[in-house]
Amino acid sequence: MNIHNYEKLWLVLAMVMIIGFISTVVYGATAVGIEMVNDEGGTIDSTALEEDDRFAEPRVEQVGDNEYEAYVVARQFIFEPDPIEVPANSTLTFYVTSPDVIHGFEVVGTNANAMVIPGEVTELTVELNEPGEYGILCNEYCGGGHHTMEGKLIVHPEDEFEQGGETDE
Amino acid sequence: MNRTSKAGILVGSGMLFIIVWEIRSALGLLVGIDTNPQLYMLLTLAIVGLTAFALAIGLIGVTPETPADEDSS
Amino acid sequence: MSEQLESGAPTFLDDYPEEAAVVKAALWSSFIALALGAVFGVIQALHRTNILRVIDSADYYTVLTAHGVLMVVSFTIFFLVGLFTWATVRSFDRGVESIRYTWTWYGLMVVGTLMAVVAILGGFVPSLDISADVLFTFYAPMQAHPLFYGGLTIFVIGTWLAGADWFWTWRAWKAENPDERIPLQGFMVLTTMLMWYLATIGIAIAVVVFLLPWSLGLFDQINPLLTRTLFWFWGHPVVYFWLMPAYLLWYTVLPTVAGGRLFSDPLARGVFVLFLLLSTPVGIHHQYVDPGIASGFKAIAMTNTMFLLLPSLLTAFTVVASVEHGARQRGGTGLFGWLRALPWRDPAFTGMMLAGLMFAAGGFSGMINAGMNINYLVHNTIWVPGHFHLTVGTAVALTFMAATYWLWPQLTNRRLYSRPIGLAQVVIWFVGMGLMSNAMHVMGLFGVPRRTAEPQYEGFEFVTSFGSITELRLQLAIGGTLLFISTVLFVSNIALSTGTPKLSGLGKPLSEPLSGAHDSPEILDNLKLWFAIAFVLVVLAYSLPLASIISRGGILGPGVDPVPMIIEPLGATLEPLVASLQPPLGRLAAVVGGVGA
Repeated sequence: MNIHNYEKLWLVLAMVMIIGFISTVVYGATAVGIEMVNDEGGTIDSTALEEDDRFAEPRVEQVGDNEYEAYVVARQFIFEPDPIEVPANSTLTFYVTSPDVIHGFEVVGTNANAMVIPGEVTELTVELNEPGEYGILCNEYCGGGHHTMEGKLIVHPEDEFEQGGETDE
Repeated sequence: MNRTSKAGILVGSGMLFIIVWEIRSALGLLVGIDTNPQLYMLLTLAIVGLTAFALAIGLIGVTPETPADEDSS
Repeated sequence: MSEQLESGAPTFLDDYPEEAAVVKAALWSSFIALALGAVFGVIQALHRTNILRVIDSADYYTVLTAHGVLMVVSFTIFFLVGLFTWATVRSFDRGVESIRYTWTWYGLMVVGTLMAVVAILGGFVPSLDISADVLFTFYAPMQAHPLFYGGLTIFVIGTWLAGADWFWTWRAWKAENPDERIPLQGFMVLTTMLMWYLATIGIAIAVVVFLLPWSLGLFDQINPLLTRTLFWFWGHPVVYFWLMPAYLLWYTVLPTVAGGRLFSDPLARGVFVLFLLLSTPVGIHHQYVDPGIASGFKAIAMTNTMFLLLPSLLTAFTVVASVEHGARQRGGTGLFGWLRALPWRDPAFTGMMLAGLMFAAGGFSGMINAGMNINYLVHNTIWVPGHFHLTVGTAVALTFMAATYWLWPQLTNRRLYSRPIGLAQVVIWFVGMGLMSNAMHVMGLFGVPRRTAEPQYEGFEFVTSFGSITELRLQLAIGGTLLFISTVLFVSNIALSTGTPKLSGLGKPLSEPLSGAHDSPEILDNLKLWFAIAFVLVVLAYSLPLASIISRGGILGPGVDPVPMIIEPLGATLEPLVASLQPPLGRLAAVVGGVGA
């Protein structure tokens, strides 16, 4: 098979670029330490969320020094709790599930973005360094009110945050 | 310098318009430079218009080719 | 002197009138779907940008379902079956084995489409219990009327029978030509269909085993992650089902249109083999941020996806090389001067070139999507529609439209109504898409979601790094409107072409490649080998993830209830019109059995 020299050069360049792209992803996964959402959140009975003590009362809980967990329920067409409140300089792990249909969970303006699938629990850990307010929206069509489904993540300055009592509902 | 065909000017103008307009996004996203949309659009239209005009009157153009090419204009 | 020289050759219609009739029917089905889909598209573009809202926001999702299904199921696939029938018959130089069989599979595709479209459009009619407001992806537990799932099933069966038709022709040809290499277009058709058979395994199981019986009430639990994963098993390779006909046109038609010859048949063959091997074991890259799927499976999908870039990159080289060859044949010289020698006045040529150019941009945004951890930034934002409007929306759609300008005279023995309008149409498409897609990509980076009727929220604002959301919305709306105008120009041009005078000699023979079939290693023609390897790759990519999903959540799910998608439209604009249609529609609904609620 006769391959033109320019074609051989192009093939090499293409492979270099492909390997380069794979390397950037590997770099992100290892050196920067970005983990993908995976199956470690476990499964759940979506028709019986009230029997799971995380989701029976959606809330934020402190589990360590500067470590928080948020138990979030995404349902047509709200996020519970709303707002989600934590102090700055903390690590927050979201546990998100749904009792009805597939939703999205996107913290607008950040890379915290995951799917919420009935029967599964989404586990996503983020580092919150600066105080600020973020919108949360559902980015997976979930019914006629999908465009109204929004929430809030409030990161309080550390000295203004009162422990253990900042959740609604 | 040969004049560019009308088809060439039409297609080239469409491509140039999109390329110049998208540079605005690149400036905004990569370099953080904000540009006024109306002014930038006027600038884009001006660049495309002037280029089209220059091509049409033969002021600029791609290098002249063999006479056989004249038929395809 | 006319640009379009009469070759004096007989046309496809002259040589194969029966087959030409089927090809034309398939193309008309394709264009009707495109036209209706375009109406819905412009409604969406104006609605979500808050520029003009003529429907209720709840109805937006009916519109969006219709737009998605009509464009990427009906428009693309009807065009494929028409094009592939032409390519098979032409390249094997023989008619189909049974024209009745051919019309049968086409008929099934039409019936399936009508069923699905009725189910979707039923969503506009509150009194009908039929709707399918589930979008193109129909994720459970959202549930559509069984007519929707049944329609898609029949449509896909039609495509399977179409593939069998072309294999049948190949078999018959091979019996008479045992020592010859498979002609290139025939090879492309067969490899594409082998890829399709592999790809549709996922969607067939999802719909036939789970979603259809579930919607009929045979059982009422489902595992949403399982059906979603089976959807994406098919959902990625389907984009190659859209692309490979466009590649067929770029490889086998565009060089002739440019005045030249295909640079290399062996490389074209190799590219199609690569697509057969790699298109399917990558679907999990649509599920990078799904729970329930281990990171290792996602990393494997990522690696496979990155290598899937290779056949497209190779195509870029070959296509440009072939076009350059054509230009130099026409007298073009110089490092870039040869570009001037190309037939830019020919909308078939210019359309395909603009489509290819835009595809390069779409390919790059796709590489971002593929970048696993980068995907966090763009997943389910409007960046994603920005990407796929460049790929299926331009590389495929614009190539199909451009190719129609070239092919239509050979199917009808009539000239195109207007080449200048055709040229304007392809340029307007390019500019409109450039504007709309640019706005979509940028807004996606700012977090604006896709698939949302009103992405204007109360509790927060989207933050831009330049410009404003308002002007980006305006840009999207302008782009979408230009695309609608372009579609109208295209469909009208073809429709008006039925009235131009009948001529003879409009045939356009295709040129032979510079490096021909005999130059390619014979192993490339070993379709059984490539299918076997492709099958193994799919088993490797999917058996463990699927087994894991089923063992963790159960085959019918850990207790998930169905959610029927019948959205009550708050407006009643269609009610009076529908009231007059109600009696016959009611009888139809009773016959079909509105069990979906």
